[in-house]
Parts: sequence; C-alpha cells; structure tokens
Amino acid sequence: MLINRVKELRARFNLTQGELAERVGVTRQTIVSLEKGSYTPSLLLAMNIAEEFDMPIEEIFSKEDKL
Amino acid sequence: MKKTTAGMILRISLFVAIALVVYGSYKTGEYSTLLSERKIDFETYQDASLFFKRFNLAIPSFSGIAMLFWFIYTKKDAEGRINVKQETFPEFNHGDEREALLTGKAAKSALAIIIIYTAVILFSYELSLYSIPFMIFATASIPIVGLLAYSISYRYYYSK
Repeated sequence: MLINRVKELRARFNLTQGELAERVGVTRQTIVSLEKGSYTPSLLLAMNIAEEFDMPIEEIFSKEDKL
Repeated sequence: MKKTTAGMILRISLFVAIALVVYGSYKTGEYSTLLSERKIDFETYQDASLFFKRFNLAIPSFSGIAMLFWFIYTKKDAEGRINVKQETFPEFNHGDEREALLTGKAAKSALAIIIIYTAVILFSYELSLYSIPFMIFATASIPIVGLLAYSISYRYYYSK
C-alpha cells in the first residue's frame, strides 16, 4: 500500500484538486482517489506530482510499512 | 458521468432499433407468406406491411442521428485527427491514467458477463422452441447486457 502527502502539499501550495489535476494532466477524480489512498498512481504521474511540488518523489510517496 | 449515461442510452437504443428493424422485416415476410397462401386478404397484408415498415426508418434514423450528434462532441487530437478510441468511447477522458485503468477493469467484468449471458441465451432458444421474434430480441439483448454490465462496473470502480 502506497501512502502519500499530496493533500498536505496541495494545501501548502494553495492549490485546488482541479488545479493540481490540470497541471499534472489527470482528472480531478484521480486526485480525489489519490488523496483518499484508494488509487496507486503510475510512476509517471508520481513524478509529475513531485515535479509540481519541486520535491523528491520519495518525500511525497512512501510504502505504508515504512512508517 | 452524465456523458457516460447518455452514451450508454444511445448505444442501447441503437441495438433495440436494429432488433426492431429485423423484427419488422421478419413480420413483413410472414404476412407476405400468409398472403401468398391466401390466408389473409390484401388489405390486412397492406396494413401490417405499412405498420412494420415504419420500424425500418424511424427508429434507426433517430438512433443514427443521436450517435452522429454524440460523435460531433468527440475531440480531435493535437494533429487534428479523430482518435478511434475517443470516437468509440467519447465520454471517457483517454488522457487520464485512472480512467484508462477503470475502463480495462469494467471491460473485463462486461466480457465475463457477456460470456455467461450468451450461454444462457443459447439455451433459451431451445426453451422458446426457436421462436424467431424471441431469438431476434434475445440476440439483441446480448450487447445491451454487455453495455449495462460495463456501465455499472465502471460506475462502481469510479466511485471507489
């Protein structure tokens, strides 16, 4: 199971789900599912999100058993 | 989701329309045989024939226009070409990876249901004593059930 900090970072960057979705090229529903943890993104999407937040990918996404 | 529902209704209406056309054609042929065997008079044949011939034009025309109307909303890609995938399923966002994944999952579910349903329909021909009207509508119901299964599974996965 992959967990992420997308919701937290999105709030920090003052972005709506729709805005983030548009920037990374997916639908808002995908961001909703991602934040809920019910969808595991592809590597490309994860990289796009990391690029958007200007952070290393591993600081945003991590495996649940690591915590 | 409104687009998905509209798309499904349009596709289902097209299959119903095709079934009605085939049924109308079958009934016209049946009345024609009855007339040639002098079991009915010409007026009865003409009335029935006119009634069933209406099926041939009105319903498929409606469905055809509806489908054409739908395809107009299909977006062209950056190079100005119409993407076949988008034309087939214009209601889905093909650029979104999650929707592509859900489409695959929903298609798998629909395929499993179509296989089972087709077997049931084939056995039901025997039970209907090979009644042609039954066979026409039962056959048309196969893609309809597939489309419904696809739509329901897609909604289920989408809401998760």
